[in-house]
Amino acid sequence: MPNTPTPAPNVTAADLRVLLGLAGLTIAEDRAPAVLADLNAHLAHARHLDPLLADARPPDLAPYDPAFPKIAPEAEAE
Amino acid sequence: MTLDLATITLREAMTGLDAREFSVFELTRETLLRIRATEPDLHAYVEVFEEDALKTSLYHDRAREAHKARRPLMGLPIGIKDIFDIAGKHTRCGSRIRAAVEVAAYDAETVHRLRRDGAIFTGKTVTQEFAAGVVSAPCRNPWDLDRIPGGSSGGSAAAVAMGTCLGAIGSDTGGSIRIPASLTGTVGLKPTYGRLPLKGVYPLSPALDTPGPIARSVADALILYLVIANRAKEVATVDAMLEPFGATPLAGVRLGAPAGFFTENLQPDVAASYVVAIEMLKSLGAEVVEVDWAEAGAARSVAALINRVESATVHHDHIRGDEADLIDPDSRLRFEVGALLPGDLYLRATMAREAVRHSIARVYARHKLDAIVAPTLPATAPRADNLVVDFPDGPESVGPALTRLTMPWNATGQPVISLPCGFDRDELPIGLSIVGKPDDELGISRIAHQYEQATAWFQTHARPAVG
Repeated sequence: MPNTPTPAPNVTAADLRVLLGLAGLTIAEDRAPAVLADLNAHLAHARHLDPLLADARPPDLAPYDPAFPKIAPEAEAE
Repeated sequence: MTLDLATITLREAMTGLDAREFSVFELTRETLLRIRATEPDLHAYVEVFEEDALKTSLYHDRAREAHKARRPLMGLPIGIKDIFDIAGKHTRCGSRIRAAVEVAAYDAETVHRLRRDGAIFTGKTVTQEFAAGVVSAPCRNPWDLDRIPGGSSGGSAAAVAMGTCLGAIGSDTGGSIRIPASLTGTVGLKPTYGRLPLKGVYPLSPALDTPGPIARSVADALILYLVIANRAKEVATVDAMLEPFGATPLAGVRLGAPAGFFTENLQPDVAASYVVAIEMLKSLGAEVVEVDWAEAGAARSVAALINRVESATVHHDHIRGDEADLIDPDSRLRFEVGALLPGDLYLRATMAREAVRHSIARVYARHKLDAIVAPTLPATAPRADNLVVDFPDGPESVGPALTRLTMPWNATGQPVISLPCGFDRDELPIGLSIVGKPDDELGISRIAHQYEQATAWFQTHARPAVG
């Protein structure tokens, strides 16, 4: 996994419109500045993670059980 | 013993009931009368179970007279945060979205354990909507009704401080037990993440959510913790668990006092109380060493990112449907922003969580620490009509301000107990956190109890002019 520094957050109002569309969200125009400010504030948190992940390997994913999940018969009864 | 709900603790009530100084019915009736008297100003409850509580109290009195096996909480009034299911009651989570929700079919597992061990539920306590925030409107702070109690378990903490229940259950994802405990002068215990069941608790961020007690003393909090941890048999040995460590109360105890992140930009009275608390711990025999946890800020970021993304997933449908307009604007913004954060950032935060857990484990090992002692919050209770907190470096909005020092411990998952350590110039409570190694709830409770017994804060109670 690459560990290039996370760029400084600079999501713009135009970017936000695209992101909202991708996420399937609709927000009123007067709420956009608050959402944009909070989004950039949270993206700024990402920079704090970089030093911690300098030597990190990709995490092991949760073990996959190829068997069907256990289903209680009564839950399926009609 | 006088049945004075302004001051009585859970343990004292247990003793009073055992000695037949008052009955369960009398205790329950007095509690309900106090709720009636204070609720018009306090708003700690969303629903009060008067009839159920009185009926249950009569049952417990009959059981006591029949000398049936005693259960640890038999007949004690307990409040339940309104994100925990109680069978036959609504779990509305402080949200208009759930105004018409069906009643719960079953008790949450933690509620079941409380009921099984004899608790009487006084009612559902106010939560910030979906446990996502620190204000807990419309609940107010018993120390000053113009101020917030903190959150999200604000109703639980306010009710305990006011004496309208003798203990309560809350949940802590970013500080939601410790924040209101600190602001209301109560004791809040956030147990080790992942050890207590979350079945029947409405989620906020499942990787961080932790149920725990809020109480009037360390011993009370420990008793409630033992019950919800399915360790009720150990309640009988609480005295032994909380014994002094040696010739002096904290003999041989080694505590870390973190510099930097946890002591920067505190309100002056909070900073002063912390210094005094450290000196008190030393005078009780503890060895206190300064430690540096350089990753504390990163730990906060880890918890913030995981919290936001997971809560957006929990509320995926709520923020995309017609119901979105029913969500409080602040909560809605939180969930929406969580939905916009990139997926790889969530995975990186999860990886970084392991890194911060390793880094704090190294701090404990390097300094041979039994616990870390830090301010619970950088501030005392903000005013409800001005949700901005003043600090030496300038104002900060209430959410980031009150979660700044609590969230790192959600990232590491360690147990933390917050207890009162003084008052500011406005006579508002200040909280001290004792942070243990994973699964050391008893160790931090024992340290906290020694500190509590040596200070006057334990016996100072909110006495607002209400009712």
